[in-house]
Amino acid sequence: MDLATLAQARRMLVVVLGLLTTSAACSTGTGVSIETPPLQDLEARQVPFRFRGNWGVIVRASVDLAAPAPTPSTRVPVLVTTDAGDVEELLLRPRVCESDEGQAYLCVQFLFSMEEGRR
Amino acid sequence: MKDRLTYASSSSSRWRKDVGEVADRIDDIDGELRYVADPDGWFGNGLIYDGDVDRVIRIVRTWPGVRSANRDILFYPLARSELHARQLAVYARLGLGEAVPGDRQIQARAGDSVTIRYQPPSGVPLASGFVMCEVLTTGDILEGELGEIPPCA
Repeated sequence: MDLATLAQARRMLVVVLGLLTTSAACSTGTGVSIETPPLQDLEARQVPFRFRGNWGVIVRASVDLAAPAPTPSTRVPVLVTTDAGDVEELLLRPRVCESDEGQAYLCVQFLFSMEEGRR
Repeated sequence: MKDRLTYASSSSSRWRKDVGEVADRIDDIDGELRYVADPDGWFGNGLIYDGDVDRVIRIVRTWPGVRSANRDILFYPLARSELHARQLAVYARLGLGEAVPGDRQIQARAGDSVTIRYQPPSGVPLASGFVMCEVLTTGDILEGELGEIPPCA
């Protein structure tokens, strides 16, 4: 095993250990709750962002009907790996939030408008 | 598809500059400008990779030229359904450079497999993934090339 492979294996081990550590249901103390509920329909795809040729990845899943529904602070860790040797932990979060008034909105998106003449 | 996306070429350079500035600001708060519409008094949609959207909205409202910033409200009847309440999602940046584990950006090259795994405390692990498609960088909006959808979308 050469040094590069060893270093990559070490990095993966660090990330996996981190994932295992956070996988136990716990509170981070910042209002975010790391959970590992049963999931279904895990899906990932590459998405284009039209500006500047940027690309992104979206990962989606649903909490199984047998489990309690997620709360706004729920974060569910998933592990992303690539052939190029990247290893990342991403935190799934609820896609739809609900306001105190019972209005549903997207948790990670916002809308904005610009003043007249800003064109 | 292209017809909806080429309005930038016919709009003013001032408008393109303004959009570019807003895109920079959203990038600075760890987000992404997703789309803009109507160059005659435009509005847009941004996403955030992490953090609280209400806090971001408060920040966006302080930016020069911003008239309003609000939640992206869902008006259709099923928006409050049990199905929606159980949906989870996360966005991440996708880069083309060398892999840097732990930087919260996924680096991959065309043809690479990207795999997502989930290990529940009990039961069968889940996995999903895709093969990174060829990426054609469309250039910066300030250069007047607004968003042609690459062929692998």
